[in-house]
Amino acid sequence: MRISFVVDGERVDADPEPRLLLAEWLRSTGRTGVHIGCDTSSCGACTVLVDDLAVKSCTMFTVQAAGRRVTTVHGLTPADGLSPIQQAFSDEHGLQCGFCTPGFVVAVEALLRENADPSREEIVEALDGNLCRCTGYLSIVHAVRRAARLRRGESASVVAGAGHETPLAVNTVRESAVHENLSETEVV
Amino acid sequence: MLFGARVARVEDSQLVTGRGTFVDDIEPAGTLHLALVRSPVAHGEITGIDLDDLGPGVQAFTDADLPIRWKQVIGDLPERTALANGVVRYVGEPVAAVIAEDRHQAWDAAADVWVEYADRPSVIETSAALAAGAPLVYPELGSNLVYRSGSDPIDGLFDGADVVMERTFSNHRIAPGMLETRGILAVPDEAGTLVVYCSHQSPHGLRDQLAAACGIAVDDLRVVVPEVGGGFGSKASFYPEYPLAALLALRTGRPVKFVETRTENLAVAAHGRGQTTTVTLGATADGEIVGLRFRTVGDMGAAVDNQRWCLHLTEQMVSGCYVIPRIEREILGVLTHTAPVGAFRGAGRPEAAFALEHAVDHLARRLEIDPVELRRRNLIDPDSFPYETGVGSIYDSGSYRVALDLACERLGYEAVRAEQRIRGDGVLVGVGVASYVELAGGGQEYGEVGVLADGTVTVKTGTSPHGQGHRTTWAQIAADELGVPLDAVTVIHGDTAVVPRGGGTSGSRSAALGGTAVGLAAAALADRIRELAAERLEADRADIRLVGGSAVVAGTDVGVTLAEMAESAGGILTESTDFVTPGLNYPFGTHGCVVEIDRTTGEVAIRSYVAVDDCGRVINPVITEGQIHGGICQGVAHALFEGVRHDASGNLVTANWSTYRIPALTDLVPIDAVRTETPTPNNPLGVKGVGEAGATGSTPAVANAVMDALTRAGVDEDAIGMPYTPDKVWAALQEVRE
Repeated sequence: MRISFVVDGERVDADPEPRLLLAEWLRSTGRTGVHIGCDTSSCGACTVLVDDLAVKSCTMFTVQAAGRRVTTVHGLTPADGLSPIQQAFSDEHGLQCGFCTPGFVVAVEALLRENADPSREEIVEALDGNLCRCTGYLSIVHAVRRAARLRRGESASVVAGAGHETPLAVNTVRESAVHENLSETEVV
Repeated sequence: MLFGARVARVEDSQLVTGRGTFVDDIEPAGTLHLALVRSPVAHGEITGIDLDDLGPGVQAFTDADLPIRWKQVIGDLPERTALANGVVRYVGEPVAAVIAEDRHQAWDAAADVWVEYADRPSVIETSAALAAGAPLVYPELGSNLVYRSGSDPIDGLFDGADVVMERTFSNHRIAPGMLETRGILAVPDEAGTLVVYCSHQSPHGLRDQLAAACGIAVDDLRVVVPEVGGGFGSKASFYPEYPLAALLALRTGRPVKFVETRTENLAVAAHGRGQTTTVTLGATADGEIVGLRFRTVGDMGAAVDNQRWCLHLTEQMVSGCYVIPRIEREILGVLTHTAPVGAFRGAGRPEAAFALEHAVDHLARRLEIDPVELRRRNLIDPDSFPYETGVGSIYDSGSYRVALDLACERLGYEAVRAEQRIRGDGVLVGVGVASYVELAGGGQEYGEVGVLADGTVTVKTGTSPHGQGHRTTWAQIAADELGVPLDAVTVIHGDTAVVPRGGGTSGSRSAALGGTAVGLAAAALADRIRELAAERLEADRADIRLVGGSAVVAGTDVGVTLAEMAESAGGILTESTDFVTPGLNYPFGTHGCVVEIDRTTGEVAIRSYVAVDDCGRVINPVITEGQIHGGICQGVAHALFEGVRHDASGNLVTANWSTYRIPALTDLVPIDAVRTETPTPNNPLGVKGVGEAGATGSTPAVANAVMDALTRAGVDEDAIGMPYTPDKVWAALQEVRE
């Protein structure tokens, strides 16, 4: 079935097999940052923007994108360097293996377009459909807060996780020393 | 110094932009796709199979066509087969292999293969598998019991005890849940080498296993591990699909790719845990532990996978952080008609820590001693290290009391106890701590460091990161030794054609072994550079400083760049080493948490969580915190809701992510993570493992907090076990009311 739509800013004419999922079609065009992590639209690794809405691209057939504007992580990446969201994920160690990250980057883009200063609760609600098995999510929450600040033009320290660790005490038992990671503390 | 600094990862720019290359992102022209026909029954005889008419270009194979065999790690067991040889032994076992031009065609064809099975009786639980007359996974063995280790019975094990407490705990199976499922791509190249790309934790190990199973010379195989989307132990196993893809690529002369679906991943990517443990503790009335009996039955599944090593590690850690004069132990491994069980983050140590730490809380209730105080009375003294335990483990260094006290202080332990005494609403409050020690870093690892004529530094390592950030941390170590900036260093891993040998990444081994190997190689290279520079600059060797990419004479501006020196040496200066550790290292800590349980729903909420961990010296605190946080999230989920479930026939009930829940953002644990630093004497960096500590301390801390709340409400100690899902908690509370 022939369709036209806009993908990462370019108009595209395509003739996908009707059963082909949008995620699979996007990958077949070399947009391999669109990751497929499950069979049940549970994980969000394939999240893209359809118009301005974050959508798991495995929940759509490609033909359903006819006439829509589809944006992947590739379309959200500047020609040089990183976007504020991408930079914030790196700064806050919001990724480890990185397989889920492109989906998070897109989902955070959708969130911040709608809400420039989301609270922790709003972040949790907006991103609950994206799964990460590595981080435990706290660093992802920090990354979203940092990304929001960067997009609002506020400064944020460039040192990784800056402000998380300050010396707590040195104990006198053998060589042990104590270090603190104020993980729950907001980063300024 | 970059060692110890909060350095952002060099890996990230590729990953956050979606430019990282994972196995499924590689697809050479002409790639064939492999799909498997899998058994829908737990135990049965294959009485008929029809591979005809599967579509144009589709080829299908059975064990008769591809008789791939490899040894199981326990000697008496029959060889494993890649495809079932007449009998299937677990749901999901590969029965036939199908290759086709595209993935959908392969899936469709696999679904069209007709197989007839004659059902046989099966055993799904270890207790049933050990019963007299149980159906046998391998009838020729005469028993499902295939692994036994432990001690002789000890006379007077509990002599001097005023109380003997015995409890049995189930540590249920959990699925690895890595975001990227398993995948492999085998490409025959023109030189006659089979190049295998695989999402794996140990490229050299995989190469050797493939060579043995496929009958290929090791020299004719090259394993490349690209970006890996998580492993957690499960991607260290050897699976039937790997030799199938390799042999089919050789047979067809075309690239063959297999990427599993999430349903396949949940079914056959090795589950972890699966141990049932009976702990018996004897203690005096004032809380001195005098004896321990530790009996574990491990579920191996239908073949021997890494559970065999997990059971060994469990046995090493049965006495935890405590001085226990007499220890009797029995460790059993039992076959069942379920998918083979392997390693999950911690691989045997969390199982030991959970059973012992949960038992200590039960003992505390029996003795009516506060569980924290009971721990204090039995912890190994910091002046006792190196400390040899009753099972022969030699703990390297530790400061257990500091970790326990610090965790309690940060948790506000005493305040929670006071709150429990006065709180009168419908919310049950529980507090639990767990003091853990685990083991890490045995064996050896390869490291190589070279300076090139362009002044850059190349590090080659035998470790194989899949999220752990070795491209950053190994670069930090090498940059310090050579006096070059971080971005001058490139770390290469995961290619058997480039790195001569390596043990990969598992068992919290990488920093202590791989990091040390890189550090020693870099130090040797720095020494050599200083010597060469001293000759060249006609200076004393002791006056040569490596700074800013040059070797300079201290106090002068006389120097030579590393680039020039590499150029003079023919283009490269290299040193390599194989670091062999003199002993294991033992990371430790105390985790504590406060839970609130809603009486009306049975829901358990974590109000606060403190982690005090000690992994010795730290190369990059950002990365160790990430490891701790991730491990805690998994361990908490294990305690509260995660779990693999089979029905009575051995069908997997939790076969997708709608039915198998892994934590999401709504399950966020409010972690307060701090660390103490007690270096290990067993490597020159003083570093211990950290990857598995979070998953080791968290599960018992949560379980203890939940049982603290429930027993205060009158729930019987034997009424409920992990996972503490709302339905089970609610039901246990209802029984109290009735």
